[in-house]
Amino acid sequence: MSDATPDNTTPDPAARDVSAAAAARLPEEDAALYLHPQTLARLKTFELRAKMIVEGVRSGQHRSPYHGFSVEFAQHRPYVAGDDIRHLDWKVYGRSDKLQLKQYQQETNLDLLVLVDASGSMDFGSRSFAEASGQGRTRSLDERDYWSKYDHATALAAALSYITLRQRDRVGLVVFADEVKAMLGRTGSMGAWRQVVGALSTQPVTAPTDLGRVIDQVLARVTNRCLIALVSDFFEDGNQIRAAFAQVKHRGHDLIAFQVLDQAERSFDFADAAPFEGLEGEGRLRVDPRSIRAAYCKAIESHIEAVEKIARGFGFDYQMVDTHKWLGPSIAAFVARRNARIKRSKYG
Amino acid sequence: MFLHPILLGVGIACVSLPIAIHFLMRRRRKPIRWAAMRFIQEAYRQQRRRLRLEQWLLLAARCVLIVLIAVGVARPMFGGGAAAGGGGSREVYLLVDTGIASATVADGGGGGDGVGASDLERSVERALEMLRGLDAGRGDRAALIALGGPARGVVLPATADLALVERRLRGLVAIDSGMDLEGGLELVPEVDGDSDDARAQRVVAVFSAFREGSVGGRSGAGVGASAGLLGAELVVSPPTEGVVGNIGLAGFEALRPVVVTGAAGAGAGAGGGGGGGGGGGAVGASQVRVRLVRSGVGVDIEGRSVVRIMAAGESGLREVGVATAAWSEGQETAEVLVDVDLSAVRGGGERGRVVLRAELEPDGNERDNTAWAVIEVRERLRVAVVGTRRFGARPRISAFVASDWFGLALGPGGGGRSGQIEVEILDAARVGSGALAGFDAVVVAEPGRVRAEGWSAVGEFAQRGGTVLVTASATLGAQLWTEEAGEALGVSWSIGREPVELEASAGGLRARAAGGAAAGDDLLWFIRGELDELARSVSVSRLLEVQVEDAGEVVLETEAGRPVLVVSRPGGGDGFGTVRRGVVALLATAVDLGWTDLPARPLMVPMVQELVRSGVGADSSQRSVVAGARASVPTGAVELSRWGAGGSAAGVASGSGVVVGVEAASGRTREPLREAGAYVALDVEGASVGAVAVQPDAAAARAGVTTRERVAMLLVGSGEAAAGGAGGAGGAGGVLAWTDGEAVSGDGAGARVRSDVPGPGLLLLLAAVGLALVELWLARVASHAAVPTGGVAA
Repeated sequence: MSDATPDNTTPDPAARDVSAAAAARLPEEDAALYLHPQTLARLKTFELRAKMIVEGVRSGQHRSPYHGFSVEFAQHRPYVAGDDIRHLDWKVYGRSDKLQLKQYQQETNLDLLVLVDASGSMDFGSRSFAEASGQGRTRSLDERDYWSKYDHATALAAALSYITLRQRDRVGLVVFADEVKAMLGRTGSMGAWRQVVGALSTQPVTAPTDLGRVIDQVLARVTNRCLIALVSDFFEDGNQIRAAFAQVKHRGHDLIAFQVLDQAERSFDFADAAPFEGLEGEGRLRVDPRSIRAAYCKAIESHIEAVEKIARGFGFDYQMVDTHKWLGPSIAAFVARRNARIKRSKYG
Repeated sequence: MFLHPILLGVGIACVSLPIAIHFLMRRRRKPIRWAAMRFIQEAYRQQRRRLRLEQWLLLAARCVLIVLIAVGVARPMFGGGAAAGGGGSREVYLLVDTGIASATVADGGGGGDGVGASDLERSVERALEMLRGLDAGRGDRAALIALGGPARGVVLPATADLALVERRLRGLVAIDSGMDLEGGLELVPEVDGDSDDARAQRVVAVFSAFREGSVGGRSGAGVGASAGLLGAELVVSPPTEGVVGNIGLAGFEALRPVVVTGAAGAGAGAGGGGGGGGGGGAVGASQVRVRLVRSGVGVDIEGRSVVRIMAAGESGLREVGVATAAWSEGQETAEVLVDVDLSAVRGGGERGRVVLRAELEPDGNERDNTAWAVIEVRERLRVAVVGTRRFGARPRISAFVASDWFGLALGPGGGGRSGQIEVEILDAARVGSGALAGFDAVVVAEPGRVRAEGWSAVGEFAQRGGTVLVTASATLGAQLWTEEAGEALGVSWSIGREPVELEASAGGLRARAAGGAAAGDDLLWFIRGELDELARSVSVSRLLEVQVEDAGEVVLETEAGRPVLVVSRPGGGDGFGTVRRGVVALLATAVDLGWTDLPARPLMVPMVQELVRSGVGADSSQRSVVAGARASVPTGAVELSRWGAGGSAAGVASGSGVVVGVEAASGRTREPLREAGAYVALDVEGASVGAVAVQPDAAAARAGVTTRERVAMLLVGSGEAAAGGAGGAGGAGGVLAWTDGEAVSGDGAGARVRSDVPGPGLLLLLAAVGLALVELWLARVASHAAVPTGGVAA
């Protein structure tokens, strides 16, 4: 845990550094609630790669903008289909008639900054905790019987952290709502994912999301290029999301937008009229769900589409995450797709 | 205006139910915590106007639905019978035969009618069927007229309270009088062209089995040509096909309505069941005459009918006589004389009465199987002979004057207080008001000496029901009293003043055949068989010329046809049995040997005795009337009370059950007596002053069936067009249609009635059903039930 101290970030004094305390109070089994062994097994073979050139302080597998520094031959490896032929070692080919790729020690490490939305809207879920946890636990640490979007976001953050730490990159965490609520400095320790889970083991606040403000606060503390994993339901105005993404793009960071939604939010499958009460202080509204279901579904799908479009518009990746589905397969698929795209791109 | 305003109020109050349910459902729901609230709000903002419209429409539909049901059930009535929904209101007059024939119970048949039901029950059922087709909500009204004679309006004028009509209809019972169809039709009011009634469709429906007794001997003049039928549709139930035989009592009377028992101590205390106690001589044996009529099935065969005579005594009814009437083939009427032994009947008294009841065995109509008669029981009769009062011993016959002869004739055994007739000689000059009180009969033997006030007293005596016998005065040449007497007695005879001398060769007297067959109509009925022979030996040399308007009033006449004895009713006009006046007899000759040898002839005693006895009994107040007529009552009676059906002697004395008032001016009951039975006449103090027997109208109970043609002829004066189930017959009053017909063709005079036109109440309920369907659809739309559902745990 020596590198748990953020070396290139400037934490906001207001933001609470919860790493040590969180890690200390989170038992092993509680952390495992959010990162199942099955998920771990599924993600073991995947690498989260940076799409752009990152400015790591250590050498790693990601392209570095600092040419000449630590750019030296490392080893050969056999050519496989799809590899860039520019890296073929023609001399070896001439001697041995084998296609070998030259590998250089030119990559640097990746900093993954996981931003988890802890606004009131994340405290919603229609899936039972017992089913989602898969550990025989029927209630959460705070005695909830449902698996909330925030729980799912926690699991996602843990999984991403695990992948990142496993490839010897660093992971940092920001918990936010209308502002940054807590931060975990970037660290490369393999067990840091538990600190991530520990830092996330808090209740979402009632406040709504203010993504623009949060991005401002985060970017103000991040000096090097890093990969930002933004985990939220994105129940915010599209323009604000666009503005936030634009800032991230402008600062040269990569971003993956994980939109966590509950199935019920998309289906809105209620039969009887009932009062609906907002989780972010929107008040109460009595409606007949069936009477507005079509309009509701249209509205939420339009919003989802808009978020994806905004993200892709800035060249960021977008992934919808359903709280009713297991994380392992979906993250694995996503990471595989992403890596394949990066390979095909100029950064590959 | 609503038929059931309370239901309307309750229904209107129910409008609050959907609103209350709405609020109750709101409160019960637990809020659902929801993250994507902004999208719900957005969706709601988009749909709010439509949703509110849907909700308001749904609420309005539900409220209006309840209001419609409430108003529909409350049965609105629009003024003047104006109907909603395009149909006119109806005014139906239900004329139901409750006459005695309607009590006939057919053994079966009847075109599918139920076995064991009376004609009245079938008629009521048909009337109910028609009544159910009416709808007060659309302004329909109904009236009910019972045709039992005389017809009366049970529910009249027409009312929208159909439930009342139904109740009264179900409560109809057959009475003992015949059907009064004409009277019933006359009760149907005429249409006032400017009134609301004129706009209503009028239907006059006659429900009867139309048996022979109901149709009677009416001609085909068309009684339906009543003013009330103008512009109305005449609907008639077809005549019954249920054949049945019936034998009824067409007459029942005692041959001697007044029985004189003689002096007290002459027999055990016997007497009438209603006399009110007191001892008297034994009533002993008497005779009653029973007339029977048979009709319907069985007339063509021989048969026998047993008649039982019951008398009311202290121990109830007991049989006092029985007789059997034999019927030959085709015989429709029969008469039997029954000896009755009244000696065992306790009660009676000086003015006691015995109530007799004749009974027949059960048959198709029970109502005419019982008849009533009342025998008045007297210890003695008191007769005043107005003449010359003689003091001392009776002279020799050669010196007899008229009063002597009458005293001798009335009291052949010595008279006085020990005989059946007590004779008292009153001085003719001193006869005045009050002098005749207490007498049953007055014999004016010397009319020439009677003063004006004397004649007035005699006239009043006759008016009260007394029997008066007037003879010519032997002592006068010119009979100046005749005009005064005629005027006081109220007779229509013209009596000559000068006596007419008859030749010796003129021969004896002869009896003229009695005009009526009843004993009461013929004062000498008991001696009728010997009357001719007795009269033949009497010669008259002088007599007063008497001219009578009604030859039937002459009882005895000379060979030349000059009236010698005439009998009439003072005031005349109504005939025996229907008025309450007494009897006035005129002997046109003087009871003097110089005028006639009658005093010395055998005819004298029985003639005078019978005139007195039968005259007393002929008082109409003692006689019977047929049900349906207003009965005359004895003098002093203020009401009639029906004798208890239980047959108790006390019942006769005090009366029980139905009480009928008496109209003082006419001396008749205010209302017709529709129920057969014995009625006790009561004075102001409640004491019995006489009795009236009301007989069932057996002639109207004839059970034979008739045809549609005959009924149509009766109602509309034309029988041809009425044939067939649905045929119509044009009549003066409109159109006749049978109730079993499907449609009615008319002549345009009457409005057509279509019972399938719904009233506003029904229309509103139909509208409510339609609105309920709309509400169901609207509720489904508003609930978006087509949207798939599924539970989601929040």
